[in-house]
Amino acid sequence: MTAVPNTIKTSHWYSNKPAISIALLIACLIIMISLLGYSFSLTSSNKEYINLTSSLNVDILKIIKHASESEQASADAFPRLQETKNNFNKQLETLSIGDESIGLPPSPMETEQKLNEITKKWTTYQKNIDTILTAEKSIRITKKFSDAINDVMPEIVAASETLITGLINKNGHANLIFVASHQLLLAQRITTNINQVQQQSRRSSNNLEMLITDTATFRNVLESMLKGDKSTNLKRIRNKGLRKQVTDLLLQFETIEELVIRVQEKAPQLKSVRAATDALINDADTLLDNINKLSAEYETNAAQWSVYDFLAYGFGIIALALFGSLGSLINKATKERLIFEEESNKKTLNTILQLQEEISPIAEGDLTTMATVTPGLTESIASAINFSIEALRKLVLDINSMSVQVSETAEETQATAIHLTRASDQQAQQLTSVTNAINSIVQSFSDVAKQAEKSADLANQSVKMAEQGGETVRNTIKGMHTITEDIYEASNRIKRLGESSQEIGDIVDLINDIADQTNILALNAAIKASVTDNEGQSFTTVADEVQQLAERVTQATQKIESLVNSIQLDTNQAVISMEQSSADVIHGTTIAEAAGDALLRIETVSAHLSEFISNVAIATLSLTKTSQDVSETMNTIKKVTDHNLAGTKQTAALTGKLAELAKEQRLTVNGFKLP
Amino acid sequence: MHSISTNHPLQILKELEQSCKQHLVTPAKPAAKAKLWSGFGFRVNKFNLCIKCNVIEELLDSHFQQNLSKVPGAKNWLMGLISLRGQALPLIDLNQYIFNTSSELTKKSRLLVINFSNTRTGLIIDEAYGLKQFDPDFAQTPASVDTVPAELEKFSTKIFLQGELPWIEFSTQRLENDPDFLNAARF
Repeated sequence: MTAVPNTIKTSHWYSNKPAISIALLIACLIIMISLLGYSFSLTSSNKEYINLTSSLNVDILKIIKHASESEQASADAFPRLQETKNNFNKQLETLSIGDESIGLPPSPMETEQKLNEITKKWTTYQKNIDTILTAEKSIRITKKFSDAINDVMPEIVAASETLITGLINKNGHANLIFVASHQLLLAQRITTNINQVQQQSRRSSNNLEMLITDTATFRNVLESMLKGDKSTNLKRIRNKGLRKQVTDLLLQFETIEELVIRVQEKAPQLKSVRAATDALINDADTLLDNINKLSAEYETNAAQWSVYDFLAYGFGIIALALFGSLGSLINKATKERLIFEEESNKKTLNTILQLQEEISPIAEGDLTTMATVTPGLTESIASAINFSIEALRKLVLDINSMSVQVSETAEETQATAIHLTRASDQQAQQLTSVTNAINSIVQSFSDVAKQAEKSADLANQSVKMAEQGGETVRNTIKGMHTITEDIYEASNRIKRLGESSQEIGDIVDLINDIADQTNILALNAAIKASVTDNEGQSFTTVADEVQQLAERVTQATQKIESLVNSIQLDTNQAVISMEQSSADVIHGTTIAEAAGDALLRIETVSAHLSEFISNVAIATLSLTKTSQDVSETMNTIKKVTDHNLAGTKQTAALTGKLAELAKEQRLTVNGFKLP
Repeated sequence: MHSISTNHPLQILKELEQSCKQHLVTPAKPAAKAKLWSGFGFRVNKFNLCIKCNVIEELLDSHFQQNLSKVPGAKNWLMGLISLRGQALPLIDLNQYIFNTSSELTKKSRLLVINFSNTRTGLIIDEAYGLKQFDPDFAQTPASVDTVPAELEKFSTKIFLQGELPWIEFSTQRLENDPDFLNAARF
């Protein structure tokens, strides 16, 4: 360094204006302090912003969770959803306009665009949340209605079963038994559909249509049982007891119809809730993405703010330099005055003294000075000292730069560790939510499995009933065959009766002829007798009597003839009506056989259904098991994450300690003053 | 009353007979009852006719038509000839003859064999009623009864109003003397 010759030349400027130098020094210090303060405040704001964005992320996840729960009409899902929504709004507001109470300024200009994007997305998101909150009452009511239907339906099913048993016991018409059995399926389907509508299944609209159709069919069939229905060849139930049962069933079913109409009214709103929930889940990714981008923006800003730190440090170094220079210059000015006052001192002594003066601050760590190399006695000593000073300076600079590097690296590592800690925290929270969601899925699966088991039981019952119905129909067919045979035999007998009466008619004709002949003979006798003498007259009377007898015989035979005719007519009619009955019975047999076939098909279908439902139940059980495994795995992951979190925190603490150590080293080296 | 003298049964019976004979009152001969008109009743068309029994030879059933032989060129009322016990018997359809309407032979139709002055002729009637007896006091002339048709009037001398319908006496004598009856040829 060539500081010494300069100081000599500019000694007048410094000695004349030391106040300016001091003022400059103070100004530098003030700038440094204010820069440090500003930097500190900016860093703490950014930390607050990043905290806020993290809680925004958590809120979005909470909203999705609560929205999904609200679909199941969970009691506290709605207030929580509302609370989370308000919380999100408040935090978003804090981000955009700041918070005076905690001294947080509004977000910087750089993040405004991203913040606006989030606000825009949030507005749409909020509308969907409001749709769900508005529908709270409807969802709760629908849940109540569907619960009511679930409560009433078993009674109706039991009543229907009693009715079927009654029909079978009273040898009801096969069609009736078939239709009544079908009612059970309808009832089951109504229950299933109402549950699906209430849970806002994706196929909700389809279920609703089926629900309405089934309800109407159920009622129509009950009414047809009472009135009969020609179009479906359904005969009315005649038994008073069974009719009473059907009437009661109709009354009970009116409750179901009422409830179904109510649910139908609520269905569009439920559908909109479904859509809103879907939109919430779909939009969540974009929103989360935007929030994460904002968070990244804040991180970047935080990194930029550290430039102020460097500036502050720069100003600090300048102030230090100024301070050092000022001290040495004042010192040298004094010595110049001494030199001016003691011009008479010996040049050599002066030189020795000067050298001594020059090297004395080195002992105190001041490496700014250099020994003045003057030709003479001290030249080689001064050169050697200067060489040593140069080496010391280099050493101190190296130590300084190294400790700065260590400090910077430690700070960076600490920042990364803090970031990691935050990320792990978020991860742990999300894992908790996911675990909860999976637990609720496990619950749902076990519910489904229970339902499937119930359905399988019902299907088995249907199979049994179809078997019973089939047996009844077979008995009916057997009975009808017997009737046909009986009718055939009776018909033959009546035909033989008709033939016998024909023979009687022939005999009667013969008698008639004889009577005619007798009549004529008697008349002839009477005529002959009448023309003879008195003795012959008496014979007239006999002849008259014979004639009258013959006439009476004729009258009697006429009566017999008419009787035989009416017998023949009656037997013919009897034969015709028996043939008609026989035809009817054969027709009935055909119908019964068709009913038997239909029942057989029902049996097969029910068996398939039962098997299918059992398979569903087994599959659901295995799903439940898998879900439980997933849940356990999630717990393990959570433990690992917690462990990681602890490790990261420890790393952050250790890194902080390292930075502290680097600072301490720098303080130690700062004892040396450099030019 | 006689006292019964002995106890011998035969004696008692003899005494009873004697007593009865003594007390027997011969009934007065009944007043000569008006002689009833007796004849054979039958039906032609819708009219009840009666004929004296002494002109009737025989009554036959409707089986005659089995051996009926038609007479060619004869008028409609001459149905034909049959052989009755070896003798030819002309058959006259009374209905056709009197009312000019052909008779429908039924089970009740009869053949009345009449003796016309030793010549036998068969009259076909619709139904035979048998012997009938009428009180001659109730007899009327055919002209005085409205219900008797003109065709029958010329064969009848009296009408018996007995029962619901009038019985018209049919005179074979008049029939025999009817010029038409004697001319059976169509040409």
